[in-house]
Amino acid sequence: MPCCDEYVDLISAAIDGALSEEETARLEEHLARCPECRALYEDFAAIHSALGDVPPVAVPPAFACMDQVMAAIDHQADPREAKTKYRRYWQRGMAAAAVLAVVLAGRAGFSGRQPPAQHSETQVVTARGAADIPVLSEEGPEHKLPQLDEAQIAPQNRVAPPAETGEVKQEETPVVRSIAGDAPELSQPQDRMATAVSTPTPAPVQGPMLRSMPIPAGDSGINETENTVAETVDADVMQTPAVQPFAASLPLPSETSEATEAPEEEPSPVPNAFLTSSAPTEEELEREEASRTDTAEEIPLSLTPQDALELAAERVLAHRETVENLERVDSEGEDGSPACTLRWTEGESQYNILLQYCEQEDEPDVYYIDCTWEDSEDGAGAFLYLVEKTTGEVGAMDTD
Amino acid sequence: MTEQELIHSARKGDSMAFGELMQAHQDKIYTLCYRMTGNAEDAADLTQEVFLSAWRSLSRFQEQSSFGTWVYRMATNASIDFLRREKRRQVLSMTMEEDSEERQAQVPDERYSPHRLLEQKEARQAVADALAALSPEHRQVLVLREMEGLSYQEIGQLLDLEEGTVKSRIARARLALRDFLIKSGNFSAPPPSK
Repeated sequence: MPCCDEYVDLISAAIDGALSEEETARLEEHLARCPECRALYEDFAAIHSALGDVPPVAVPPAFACMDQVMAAIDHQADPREAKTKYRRYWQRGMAAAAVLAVVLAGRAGFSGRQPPAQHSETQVVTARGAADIPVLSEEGPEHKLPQLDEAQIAPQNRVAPPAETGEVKQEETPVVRSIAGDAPELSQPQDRMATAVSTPTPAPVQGPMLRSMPIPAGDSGINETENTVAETVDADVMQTPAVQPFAASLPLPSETSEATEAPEEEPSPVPNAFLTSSAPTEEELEREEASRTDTAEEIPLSLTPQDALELAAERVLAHRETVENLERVDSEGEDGSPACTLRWTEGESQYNILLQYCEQEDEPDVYYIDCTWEDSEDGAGAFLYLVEKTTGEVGAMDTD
Repeated sequence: MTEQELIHSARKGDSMAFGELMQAHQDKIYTLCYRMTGNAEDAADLTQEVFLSAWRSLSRFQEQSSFGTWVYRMATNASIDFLRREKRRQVLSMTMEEDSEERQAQVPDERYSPHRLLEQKEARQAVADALAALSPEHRQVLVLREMEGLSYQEIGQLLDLEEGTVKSRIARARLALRDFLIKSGNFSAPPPSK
């Protein structure tokens, strides 16, 4: 509709009653002459009327929605002390496993299949982090937990219970029970503590988690995972089922082979003191606090743009049945961003693909790789590869 | 207690006070989340998240706006983030299934012979459903303008946009919606060009 382009905004504003007298007059004069714009006006009016006319939303009764929030809130100390609680949670090294449990599940649910453990751990931390796991106060056995009906708990607020014993269970699949059901575990914090702490804690899970902790209002840090813990946890990847911070019986992950790959991928701001079993000194706590603030907004990256480019290139070629005479030329875009051209033949057909990394400021977890293709079969076109920064998953979408 | 007293109390850790604040605002927040996500389950989840987040960041609430506005803004951001993730998830999961994943099919440009606009009620439903086909940004402005009844100025403040930007985004959103409705056969095609 070439004519209507200039009038779309006016017509739309007219619907909202936001035109000046002069604009109204101009529009009316145009509508008198232009049937396309009249049709557009009518359509917009119909849309406006239809959307404005929708039935009111049926809000569920309060208890269904808000009880879980109150329960989660009650489990936390008051806001000022929340940070202290989390810090001490870290000290015991439980948060790592706890978050791992919940978010691995969420992460798995996201993609529909199990991501590699090391990537999951990093992704773990970009998600809600420990923040959504109710941090129980440290009063110990006296602290009474409200009974929570599991069905009422929103999926992402569910937590897996601790293992039956203090030993590390690598294959155990967690059974999701209500939080309250784990209260008995509280009774022997001291004993379990000794067992738990003896196993080294994987560094990467802790570090990034700290970064994700602060949740500024309205920030997208609110939620990355959305799926039920119970459904998607894979026994192999789940290194420990225990999640409650208070339960010192939480076994620490012992599959350090997977865990230790992660530290190579991203630097941890957590002082190494946290990895030891002794309690951090005041100074160390302060340092940790400071580093947490500094890196609060970062999301740990395990892939570079170059990596993403490689993955996209891999993806391009992965579907081809035969690839002959493959040529690859690496180059740079105008702004210095990585690019590469792939050329090959398949029998009689010739293929030519340009992959170009595109800087995207408002996409914190995905790399965009622009793909411009040309071949003797289908002509030419372009689309975008989306590469998840922390898992390397590659998707594609049409450019608009 | 007045709302301000409730806020102060909640800041000190009084979860009951926060509970009362939630009661006062949950309908509005839930409604917005429902309009944006299109289903009750996601709306409930999002609402919970928003309030949990509000609780955790209560110390950062400056009281420059009202508590309701503050939480509403959080809900706006949370729901658009949700939609963006959903969209990406759909894109990713779709690409894993299809053969020629590089060539994503958009909404097919199938121009059916024009129907008359459906009965009122069906039309309303069709239009509301078509919202789901829009980009998160387009859906968001239409929800805020058409369903939440916010003015251009209010939307601009909520989303941190110039009013002019709001105006043209709404126009584009309506255009996109209209295009979708035409393609899906719910709207008559526009008269042919001269």
